[in-house]
Amino acid sequence: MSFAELLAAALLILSALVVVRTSNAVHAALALIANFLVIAAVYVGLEARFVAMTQVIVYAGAIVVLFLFVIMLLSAAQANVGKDLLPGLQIPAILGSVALAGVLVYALGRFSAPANPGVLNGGLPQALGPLLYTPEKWLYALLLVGFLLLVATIAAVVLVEPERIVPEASKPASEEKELVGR
Amino acid sequence: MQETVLLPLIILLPLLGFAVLGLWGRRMAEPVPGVVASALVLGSLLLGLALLAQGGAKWAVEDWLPGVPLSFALDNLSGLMVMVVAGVGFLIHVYAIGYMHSDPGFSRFFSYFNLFIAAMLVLVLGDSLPVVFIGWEGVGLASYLLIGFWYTERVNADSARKAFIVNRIGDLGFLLGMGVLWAHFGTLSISELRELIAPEGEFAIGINVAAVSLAAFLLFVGAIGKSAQVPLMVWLPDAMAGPTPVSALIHAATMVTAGVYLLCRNSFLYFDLPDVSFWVVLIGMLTALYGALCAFGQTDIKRIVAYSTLSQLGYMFVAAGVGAYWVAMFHVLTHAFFKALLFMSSGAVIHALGGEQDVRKMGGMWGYLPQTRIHGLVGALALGGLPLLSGFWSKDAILAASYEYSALLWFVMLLTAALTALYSMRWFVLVFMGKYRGHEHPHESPAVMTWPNHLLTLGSLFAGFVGLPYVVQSENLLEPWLNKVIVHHEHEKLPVLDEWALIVISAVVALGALYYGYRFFQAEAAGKLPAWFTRFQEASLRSFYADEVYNALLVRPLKGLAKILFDADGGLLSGFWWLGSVTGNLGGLLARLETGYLRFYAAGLLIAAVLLVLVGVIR
Repeated sequence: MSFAELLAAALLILSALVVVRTSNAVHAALALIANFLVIAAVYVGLEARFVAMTQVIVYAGAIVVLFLFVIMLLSAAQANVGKDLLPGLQIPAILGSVALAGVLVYALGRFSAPANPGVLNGGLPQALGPLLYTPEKWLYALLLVGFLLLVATIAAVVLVEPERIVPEASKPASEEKELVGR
Repeated sequence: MQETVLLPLIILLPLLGFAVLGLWGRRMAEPVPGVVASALVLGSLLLGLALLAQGGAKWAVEDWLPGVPLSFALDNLSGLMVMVVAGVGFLIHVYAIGYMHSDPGFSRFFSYFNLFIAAMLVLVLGDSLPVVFIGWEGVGLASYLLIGFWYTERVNADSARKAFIVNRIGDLGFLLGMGVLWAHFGTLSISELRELIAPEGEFAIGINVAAVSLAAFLLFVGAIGKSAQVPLMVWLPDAMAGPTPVSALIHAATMVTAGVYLLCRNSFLYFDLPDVSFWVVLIGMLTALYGALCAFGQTDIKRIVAYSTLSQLGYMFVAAGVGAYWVAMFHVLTHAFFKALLFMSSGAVIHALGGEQDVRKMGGMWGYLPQTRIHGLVGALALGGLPLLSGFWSKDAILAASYEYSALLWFVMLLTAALTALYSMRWFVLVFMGKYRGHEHPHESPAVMTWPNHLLTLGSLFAGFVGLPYVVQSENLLEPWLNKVIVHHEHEKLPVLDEWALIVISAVVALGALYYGYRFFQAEAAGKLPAWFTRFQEASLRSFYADEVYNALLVRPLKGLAKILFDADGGLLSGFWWLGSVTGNLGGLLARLETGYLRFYAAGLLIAAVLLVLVGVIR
């Protein structure tokens, strides 16, 4: 294990801890960007260059920027306001996280890498394209993801659309009764 | 024996009367239902006699039930019963036209009466045990309906229920007995069973004697219930709640003799089973003694006669138990005459006194009722066993048969005969002698009630002469006639001297007891009895506490058990309900996991993930 790998791992854990532990949401989002940049570097190191670029563009450049927009629009940078209704959950959460980490480490310890991994070709889009657009490989999954994005767009539009107020008089009598019932 | 469709017609005639009178009887004017009912019974009697004169008849529907034909047979034994049932039944029908005059249930009464006759004929004519059982239950039903005929009185309804329930206990024995026979022999036809069990006058070789014993005993339990033997005797005195013709027809002349008939019809089961027959003798002896002792304390004119019926039925069972089956049927015959006569004389007295049944308010009827007094006297003397009357001959035949069985049994039966003479005189003296102690204006019954009694009087006087003992130089008509169908042991007849000695002893005892009773109970009429006898009468009036014992040992524990079972049932149900509430409470507990805090759910997710990975890795 080289020095660069150790440094990357330390930076990843450190930034992740900041994301979870800091009380300022803007700091947390920035730490998340840092985390994504480091993880992109790790991807490069693992010969997944296209994925690393996408990681930076989509996650760091688009998603977290969206997060920041929301936090700033709502002036929600300070999280520790109001009363904590589940104060005792922190310790079980820590214990649970440690336990999950423990079992995962244990599981990885029993995992042995395959003897002859496939040729990665540097993880460039020239290598990934045929995989993505071949029906025997990932084409349908790609189409499905496209559909998912369409749904997400519509859902986001509907969610934020302001409520329309229907005049009472236009409702038939039978529905009215139902409303009273509720 | 010929096969003829006329045989079921004997049964169908009164059944038709039941249907017609039951459906349209209310539209008929007063005497019409009674006339129709009587005529139909007379038709049955004549048809039965005609068929019997041609040597009997049989008729069957082969595939009534799988393996069980609906078969009827008219032979000498069932012929005798047809004569008793339809003959005496006809007289009682005619009597009832007068007795039930202006009763609001006039047509209903005759409808039930015809139903009874039809069921009784099914019982006696049935050639397979299930058919007999139909009649057996049918007469029980008719008895239930007729005891509770005046259903507005609570006591009548209770008596009817008691009679039905006690009879059902016996019927269970009958059913189980049939089950045993079916299981072991695969047929319930009486003639086929007889071929299988006792083809040559003794048990076939290799027959399962234990099964036959069990079946015979269980059938005997049925007979105990129907014939009101100890310990199932409690219903018969209470059955006097019905109208008097009912008591005469059902609870004296016919239905209660069905048990004796059953033993005689199935004599091929009993004749080679000394153990079972010993029980028959024992039960019969106890009943004879118990009924006689209970008759002394009764104050109801009909209950005195009812207990005497109990006692006489005991006599018949003793006769059947000692193997003298023809003697049992002989006593059935004579008893049908004199007991029907006694009941109908009692009915005439009750009729004369406007419904009064208490003998303490009677007396002096000798002067008021010129015809009924003769009927009552003949009936009481025949019951008491006055020599040369019918009761004397049949009782003497029973005593002779008991003497052959055991001297002790003979002595007890002789003692009972003396008691019978005493209480029959008590009945007669309290009703007819002395001064009238009531306030009604007694009047003699109409001709429609006296004429049947005239005929029954003739029967009581002369019926005994069909079965005279062999030492009297006259032919015994009944014994060879009945022994054509009843299994019987060929045995040495008693020496002439012994037979004469028995006859003389029984005659002397009867005469002495009749005279002594006549004198003794004049004192009761006058209210001057010795103190010990009054105490005895008090116990006797309450039937020696049989009902109290039944209530304490059976009725109340059963009621308690029913209550306990009912409560236990409720407890069981609430237990199941509680089990349901357990799952409900469990659901409530699980619902409390739904806190509504996303973090809490995430924690659950985390735990699940840890566990799943752990399980997946370790496995």
